[in-house]
Amino acid sequence: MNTDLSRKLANAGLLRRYAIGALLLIAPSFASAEIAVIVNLNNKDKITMDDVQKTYLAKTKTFPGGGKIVALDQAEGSTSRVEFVSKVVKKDEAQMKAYWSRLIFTGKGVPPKTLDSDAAVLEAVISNPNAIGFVEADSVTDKVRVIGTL
Amino acid sequence: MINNVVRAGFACSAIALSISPAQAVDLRFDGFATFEVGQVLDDKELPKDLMGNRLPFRGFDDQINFQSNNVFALQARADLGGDLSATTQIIAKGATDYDAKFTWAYISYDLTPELTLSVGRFRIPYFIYSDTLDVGYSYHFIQPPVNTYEIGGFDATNGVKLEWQTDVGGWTSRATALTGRSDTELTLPMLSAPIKGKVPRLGLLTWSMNHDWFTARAIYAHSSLSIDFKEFLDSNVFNPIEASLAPFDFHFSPGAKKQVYVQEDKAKFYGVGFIIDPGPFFVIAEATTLNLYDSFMRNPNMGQYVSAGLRIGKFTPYITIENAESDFNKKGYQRLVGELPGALHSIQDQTGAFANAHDYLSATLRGLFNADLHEEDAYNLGLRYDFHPSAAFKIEYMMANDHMHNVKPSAIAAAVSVIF
Repeated sequence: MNTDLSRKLANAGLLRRYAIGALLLIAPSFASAEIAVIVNLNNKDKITMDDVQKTYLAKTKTFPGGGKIVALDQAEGSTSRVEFVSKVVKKDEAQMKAYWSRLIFTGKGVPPKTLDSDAAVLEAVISNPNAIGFVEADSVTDKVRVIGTL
Repeated sequence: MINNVVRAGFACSAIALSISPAQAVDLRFDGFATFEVGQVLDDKELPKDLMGNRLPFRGFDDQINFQSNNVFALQARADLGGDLSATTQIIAKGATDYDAKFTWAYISYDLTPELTLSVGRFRIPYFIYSDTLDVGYSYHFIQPPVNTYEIGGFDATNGVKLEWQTDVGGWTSRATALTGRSDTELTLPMLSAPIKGKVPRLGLLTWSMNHDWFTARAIYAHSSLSIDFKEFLDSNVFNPIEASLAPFDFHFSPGAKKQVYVQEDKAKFYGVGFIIDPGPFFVIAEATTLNLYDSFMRNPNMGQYVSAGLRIGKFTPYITIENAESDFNKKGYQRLVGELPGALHSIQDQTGAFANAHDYLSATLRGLFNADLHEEDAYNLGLRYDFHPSAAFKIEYMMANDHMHNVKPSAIAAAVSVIF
C-alpha cells in the first residue's frame, strides 16, 4: 500500500515533469505564429526578405519592376505585427516606433497604413496590385502571392 | 497664447482648404511632446558671464524648473497625389512661453523614387539628431549632447533642399544638398534686448551610408554670418578704450574693429559621425568643428561625444561622454594690440596689476576674446524606460567640468516624451 502510493506519487511526479517538458517544447510554437509576407497575384517581381525589411524601414519605395509600393501594417501589439517586426524588420516594436518617429517628423517617410486584421490586409492586397502586407500563415488564401513565410 | 493657438488652427485649416476636395488627399496629423523637469545640484558651481550673472546649466538653475525645456508640437502632412506633399510642423516651447512657431513648412516633390526636392522652411541637418532635435521620443538621452549641438539658434532655414536616397550594393546611401537663408534673434544674458543674427547664404551637403546596424555620416556647410554685436562692442569695449586714450587722439582702424564685429564673416562647418546599433546595444559618436573667421567669437569651436546604451527589455541605461574645445581669433587680437600707441609701454598701469598701461589694455582686449571660449568635459548617466507604446520616461544625471570658468556644474533631470 505504502509502496503503491509512493510509486503513484513518483509516477505523478514523473508525469508532471514530462508534461512540463512537453509544454516547454510546444510553448515556442504557441508564442511565435508563422508569418507570411504577401503581395498581389499580378505582382511577378522577385522580392526578397531584405527588400521587405527595406520597405518597412522606408529605404525602398518601389518594387524591382518599378511599381510604387503600398505597404500595409497591422496594429501594434497584434501577434502578426510583433512577429513580423522581430523576424523580418529585425527590431522590436519600441525601436520600430522610435525609428519611424525620426522619419515622420523629418518628412522622410509616411508610415505604412495600419489595417486592423489579417482579413483586411488580405482584402487590400487582393485589390491593389502594388500592395504588400503580412498575415499569419494560416490566414493565407490562394488569391494572394506569398513571397515567403517566417 | 490664445492668438497663437488660433493662428495655428487657421494655418492648419488653410492647408486643408487649399486642397481641393475633388482630389483624393491623404491628410495626416502627428504630434510629439516632451515635459521635462530638472534642477542644478549646487548653484555655486554655475558659471558666471562677464557681468557676473550665473548662467543656467543645460537650461536648469537651482530652482526646480518645470518649463524651460518643454516642447509641444503638431505636424500636418497632406499628400496631394502625384508625388507632391505639403508638410508643416508647429512647435511651442516652454522656454519661449509656448509661443508657437513654424519650424517646418515646406512642399516636397518626388522627382524620381530616389530624388526628392523640397522648398520652404526646414531644420538644418548639422548633426545626426538635428532633424528630430525636439522629438525627445526619437532618441535615448534627455537632450542631445549640448557641447556639440549648441548652434546658437541658427537651426532652421528658408530654402531649397534636394535629397537623394539610393541603394549601393547592399548599402543605403542618403545625400542631402541644401541652400537657404537663416535669420534668428539671440537672447544673451549680457544684453538687455535680443539681437539679430543672419546667415544669408547657407550651403550644406550631408552624406550618410547605412548597412544593417552600421551608419556613417559626414557633413560640410559654409555660409556667412552676421550678428548684431556692434553697438554692444562699441559701447563696452572700443569707446571706453578710445576715451581713455583721448590724449593720444587714438582710434582703432575700421579693419581692426572688423576683426571683432560679427559682420558678414565667413563660417565653415564640418562633421563626421557614426551609429552602431545591432539592437541589444548601441554606440553613437559625433565630432564637429565650426570655423568662424574674423570676429571675437571662438574659432574653431569643436564638439565631440560618444554615447552608448544597453537595451534590456523596456529599459535602456546609457552613458554619454562629451568634450568641447575652442580657440580664439589670434590674428584679430594681435592686430588690435598692434595698433595701441607704443608710448603706453612707458606709462604706469594705474590698477597696479600690470607692468604698464599697454599690458593692461592688451589684457582687456584678450578678455574680450576669451569671453566666448568654451572648454568642457561632460558626463551624463541616464535611463530610458519605454513604459507605454507611445511614451518614454527618462532620468539623467548630467555633470560637466567647465575649464574656462573653473566650475563643475551638475544637474538631475527627468522627462516624459510622447508621440501621437
